[in-house]
Amino acid sequence: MKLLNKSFRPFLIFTLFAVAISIPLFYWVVQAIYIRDADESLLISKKQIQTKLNQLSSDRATQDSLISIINQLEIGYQLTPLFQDPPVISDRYFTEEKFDAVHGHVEPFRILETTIEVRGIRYRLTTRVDMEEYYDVIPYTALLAGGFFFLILGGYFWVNKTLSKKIWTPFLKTLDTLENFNISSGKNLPTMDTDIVEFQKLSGILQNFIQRNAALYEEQKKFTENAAHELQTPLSLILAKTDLMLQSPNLTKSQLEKLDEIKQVISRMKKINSNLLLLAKIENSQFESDGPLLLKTILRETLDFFKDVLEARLLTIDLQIENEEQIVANRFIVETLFHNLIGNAIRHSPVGAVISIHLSGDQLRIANPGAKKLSESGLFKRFSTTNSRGGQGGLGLAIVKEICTQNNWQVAYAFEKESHVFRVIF
Amino acid sequence: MKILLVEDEPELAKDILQYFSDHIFLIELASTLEEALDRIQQFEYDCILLDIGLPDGNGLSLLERLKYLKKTDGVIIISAKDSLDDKIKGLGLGADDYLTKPFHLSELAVRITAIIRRKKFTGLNTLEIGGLILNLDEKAVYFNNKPLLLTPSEFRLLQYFMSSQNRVLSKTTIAEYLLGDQYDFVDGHQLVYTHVKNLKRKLAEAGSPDYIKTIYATGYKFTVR
Repeated sequence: MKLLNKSFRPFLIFTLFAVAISIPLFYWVVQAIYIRDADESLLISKKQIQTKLNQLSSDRATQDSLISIINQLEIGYQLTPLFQDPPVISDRYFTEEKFDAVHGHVEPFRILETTIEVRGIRYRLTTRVDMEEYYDVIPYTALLAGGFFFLILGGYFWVNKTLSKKIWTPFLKTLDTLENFNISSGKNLPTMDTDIVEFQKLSGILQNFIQRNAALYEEQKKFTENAAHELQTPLSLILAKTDLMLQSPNLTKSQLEKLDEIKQVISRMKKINSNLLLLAKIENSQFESDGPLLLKTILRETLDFFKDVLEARLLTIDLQIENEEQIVANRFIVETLFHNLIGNAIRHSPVGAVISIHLSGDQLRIANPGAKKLSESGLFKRFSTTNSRGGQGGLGLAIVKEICTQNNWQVAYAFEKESHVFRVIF
Repeated sequence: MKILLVEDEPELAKDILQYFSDHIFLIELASTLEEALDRIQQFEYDCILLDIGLPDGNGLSLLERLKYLKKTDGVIIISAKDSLDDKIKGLGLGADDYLTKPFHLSELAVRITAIIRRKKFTGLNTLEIGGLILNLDEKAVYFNNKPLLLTPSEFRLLQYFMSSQNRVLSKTTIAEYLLGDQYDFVDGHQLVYTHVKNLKRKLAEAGSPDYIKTIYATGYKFTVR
């Protein structure tokens, strides 16, 4: 999940939850407040009517006519004299839907039923308040509140989206650069274009890291190259001295054999050394492109180079070429790639075996018979045990890998049908 | 035949001088570029062995000087750098060969011999020892003017032997010379044995004395003595 969605989703869920609760809650609370207000005003009306009736009723006849007028006016008060002595009922409030002649339809009323006493006579008072206006307002208010909630939500989403885009763009840009970053390029990461302190800090730290790593990498590369270079002279000396010793008269057989063995060892060292140098050079990207090269031509030339060896070991090449493709690369590098892969196949094939080489599209497939799958971990690493027995001093496949990395090609190993298969995709 | 060795590594220079001391060559040593430039101005050499990584400058400038002086001394660059650029530059500037350190002294011998032949006898590029004539241009071999039919490998082998006469050559050295970069892939010793056996047989069939001596089955020596 993307960062932006991650931060927005809980907020969205929370807001929806809040809105869902708040609308009915709002409705109920407002309703309760209205009812309380209505009850209060009903109680005040009761007190007022009781006081006023007591004041205005100078005699019994006036009292009766006043009450009659109030009842006939139908202004929300109904008085019924109580002749017997029924139990005193306490104030009873309730809501009732009633037909309203004025409005011409059924409306909710808040009603107070109580008992008042005017000059010794007790009356049942029923007084009411029209709730219609109040009730009309409630759903509108609730709706309005809900609307604002959604407005806030939408606003937040919009602000979040535009602001985040602005805030995160430099970060995402850096992330993209980092993804394709090549430490050997010698370049540093561009500074993040942002005014956010945390990002500036991150940018600084990243640059620092990369600088240090690049320096280390550079140092290591130089070390490999220098070490290999420095070894050339002592190796030359050992070689020259063995050549000289070979010329000494009266050498015994075992001395001569030992000298030849020393020469073999030096040969191996020479090979390792020159491969290390080659690897360092490839890592340094010292090979410039020679323009478009025809893969099949180089492949044929490589096979031509191995003609004697193939003959000597009775190996057959099953060559299939369905490729006219040209690639832009350095010729020597492509030759080295083919040489190392085919050389390996030759070296590890039993006498009389068939090596299959298939070049089609942008893919080269080289397969040679083998007994069991090679351990893949470290197969392409320098001096790994898997390939150190080869004649390239354990560097042949490391060179292959490095060539592919530098040129954005892919190389993979698989064990298929009793065969070691190496594939290169250009 | 005079050879100038331009090499700043004293040990290696010493070994090269010693290896060729009883040879037909006369080798002089220059250990700096200045010294070398001085010498080529004064003397003619059949071959110059030039290390290009010198303390006081790049040996390639000696090639430029030779060109300027219109001298045709043969030049073999011996370099610790196995760099294609240097190789191309060196050969472009008129060097005849390029040998990367480390190398077998016998390999150096075969290259020196080839260059001296080429420079010395224009039109007649041959090696002649004990009745054997090796024509490097025609890739043909004659014994007492009778042609021998040799495979390319056998020809190269004979050239190698004749360039290093009286020297013991180990099987490994010969295998590396014959196979070059293919050395890793085959049993070099076996291959050398086969080639030498065939070469000896062909030489014997042509009536040549057995010049190739086997030394304890690990090395060979070409000698007419």
